[in-house]
Amino acid sequence: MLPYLARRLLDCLTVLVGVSFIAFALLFLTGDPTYLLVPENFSRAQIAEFRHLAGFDRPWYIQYADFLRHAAVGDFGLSLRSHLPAMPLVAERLPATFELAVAAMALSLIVTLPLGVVAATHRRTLIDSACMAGGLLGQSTPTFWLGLLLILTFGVDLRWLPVSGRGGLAHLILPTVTLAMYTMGRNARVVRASMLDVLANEYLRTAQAKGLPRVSVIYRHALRNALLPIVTVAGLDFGVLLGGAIITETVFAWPGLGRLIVNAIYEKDFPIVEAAVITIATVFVTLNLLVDVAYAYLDPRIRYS
Amino acid sequence: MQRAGGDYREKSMSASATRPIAAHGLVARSFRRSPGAVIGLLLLLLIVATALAGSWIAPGSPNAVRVEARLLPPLTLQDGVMHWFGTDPLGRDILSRIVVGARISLLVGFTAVLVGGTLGTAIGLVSGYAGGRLDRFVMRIGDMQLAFPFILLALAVMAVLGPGLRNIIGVLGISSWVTYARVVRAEVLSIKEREFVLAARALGAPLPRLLVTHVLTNVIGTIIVLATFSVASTILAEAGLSFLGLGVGASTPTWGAMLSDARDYMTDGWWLTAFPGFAILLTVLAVNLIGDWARDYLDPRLR
Repeated sequence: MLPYLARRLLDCLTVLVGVSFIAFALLFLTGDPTYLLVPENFSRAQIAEFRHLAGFDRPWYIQYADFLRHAAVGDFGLSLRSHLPAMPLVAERLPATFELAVAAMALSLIVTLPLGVVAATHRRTLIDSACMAGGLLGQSTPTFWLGLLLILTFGVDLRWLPVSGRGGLAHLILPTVTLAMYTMGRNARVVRASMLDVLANEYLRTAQAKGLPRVSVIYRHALRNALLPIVTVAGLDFGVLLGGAIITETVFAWPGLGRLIVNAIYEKDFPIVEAAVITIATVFVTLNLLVDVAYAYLDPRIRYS
Repeated sequence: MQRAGGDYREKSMSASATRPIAAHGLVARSFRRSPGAVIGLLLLLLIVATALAGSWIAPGSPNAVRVEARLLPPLTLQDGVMHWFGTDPLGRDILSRIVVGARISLLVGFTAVLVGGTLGTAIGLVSGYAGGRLDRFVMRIGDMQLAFPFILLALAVMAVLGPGLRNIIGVLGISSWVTYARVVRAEVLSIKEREFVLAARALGAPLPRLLVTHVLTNVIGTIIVLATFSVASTILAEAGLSFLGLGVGASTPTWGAMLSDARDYMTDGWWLTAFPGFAILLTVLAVNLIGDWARDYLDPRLR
């Protein structure tokens, strides 16, 4: 396990260096940031001097090495708009996004585990078809549209729930449902498929033949074994949710990372974009690693060498 | 080293148990027996027909601003023009805009998938065939790309390139190569060492040709299934990017941009949000229904 972990950590590091290169290249391709930084009334000589002092006249690989050195200690420079360090600005938005993503993930699991199990145990019945049709509908609904409809119904017409900003539980409900819809749709189908695979096994027939209660057979024996693909999907989901949060946060004015990124992109505030991209990639890569480790615990047959 | 999860899926996708797709009678029969697929196909045909029929259905130019006709509810007849889906705050006919939006959505969805699928398949073939350093390098680049949430990568690139039809097709297409490349590569690796391949090679058959004929015939089913679902997700992604203002561009009506415009006028008329959203939902649902059938038929192991 340890050599495997060490190698995976090294892999993660390579991936992050690659991501930093992509982030840097994107910035570099937008052109010389000098003009975004200097006041309009600067003379040509002053601009040239500024460019030299800021190091923008150096070759790209030297600039990249410089960028990497600073990025390694979390220094992404100052936001071009607020002139505050970029990384702390990103970091202070993380909890809001995590709150939303975790809530969405929890909702998705709470809804899809029982639904998928029921669909699998009632295969080819009306219940199964309804669950699967619902799942497909969830997967096909555009997030932002669902968000708008929820705002219109529960916020504007019924006035039951707040429609924007972050606060207590009430603020969390609409964005969570919106964000979770896609993963709910997909996971219901994954749980069902995984359960069907497991239910076909002979040891379950044995368990049933021994006279174990059906509930115990399904939930203790079958579901446990069906969890493996679900863990993979759930791990990947968190990344999908982080990405989906970009749109959901925009719809609900949720003060998270997604909204920060979208605004930074509109304002061409590239240090913020870079810091946020690398932060998200780091979270993503770490989660993937955790999923792999979780695998080894859930399935003793998997041995990493 | 790949993620165990990735491995699991690749293996389940790569073994060569896909059905030959050339059995026409079978295809038709299986299709007819799947009500979902029939509904999906009919829906998609309807949407394609709407997009193609264009000016016959749409009463006016999608960008014609008529202040006197602003915010008319659906089924309003004004100045001899029937506004089936109503008008927006600038008096533009919503049906006309939805029709043009259908063209953009379908064009982006199908073209981007064609770009991504072709690119990914080619990369997977070369990478699996070449092996060694090149293979490791390519797969690592794939890992890097998967370390980005897809929409974030698309956003960042669109921010750099600027809005535009060609840009969005390029971005959505190129960023989807990894899935195809992984599936094709796994198939190449498993086939490269098979005895019939080794025998054919010993007889002097060139390996590249062997790979193309054997690998492609084996994975084409999986590729079609992946591609169908990715048409659906690409259409959603395009709508999302347009909603954020980083799509095709302000002068072209797209479904996502229509919803974005509607945000400020949501309370003025339900039809502003309802119709563009329904258009996206129905299109994506239609493609997903077809994808579901394709998966059950072509690659039952993916179920």
